[in-house]
Amino acid sequence: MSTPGTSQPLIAVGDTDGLIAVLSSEDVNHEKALSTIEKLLQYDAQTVFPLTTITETVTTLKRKLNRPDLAEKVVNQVTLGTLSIENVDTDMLSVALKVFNPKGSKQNTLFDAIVVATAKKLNTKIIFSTDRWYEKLGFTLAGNLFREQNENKND
Amino acid sequence: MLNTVTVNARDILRNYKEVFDKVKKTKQPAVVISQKEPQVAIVSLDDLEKLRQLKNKQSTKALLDMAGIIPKGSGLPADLSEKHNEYTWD
Repeated sequence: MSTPGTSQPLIAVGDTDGLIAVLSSEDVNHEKALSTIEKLLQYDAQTVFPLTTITETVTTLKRKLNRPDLAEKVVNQVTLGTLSIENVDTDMLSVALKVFNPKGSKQNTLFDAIVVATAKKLNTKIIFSTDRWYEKLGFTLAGNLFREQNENKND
Repeated sequence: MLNTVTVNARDILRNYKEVFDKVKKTKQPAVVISQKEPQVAIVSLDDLEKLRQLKNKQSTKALLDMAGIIPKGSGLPADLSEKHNEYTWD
């Protein structure tokens, strides 16, 4: 399966909220995140995380987890090397800065803009996140991608 | 099966162009030997792209393997994914 409208392989770029939702059983989006990954696997999709997503996720979990043993386990798992991590360079920062609006919502940060820059670099429109800000920029949230395709099948 | 050829590091220093051309033409990775041990491999850019895609696909599986490693009762807020900016930076 390829990214809709292109011959490119299906690649989902991961954001921090998506990664946290996967890791934390307690999270309101955990089940939705799992279901999305299972679909991604079913469609042989690739998943890539910008380096900044990893650093932001680890920072958040380290701050909020009051159990050092668990924090250590999570950090080790996430940084083990099994996740595909995309380096972020100054060219990507330049792309991100064009997307990022410092006067905009506090909810959307330069980290999110780097997710956009990564997606542009990898030539994909799919973001593994539940943040609808990406949709406003013309991207498709991975969880919605499969819903849209099922709807198209049923038309 | 992935066939490979071996090449000495010294040969690369002497004639890298020939080694590169052979890898490009035959698509067979060249395993570089130094100090009597295989050290690295030179692969074609096509193979590198295939390796990258394979790793990215394995990343999806790895993500599933990590699912729920933070169990219920860990004390994390249920809305952490949605409000992580507030929880982290405010």
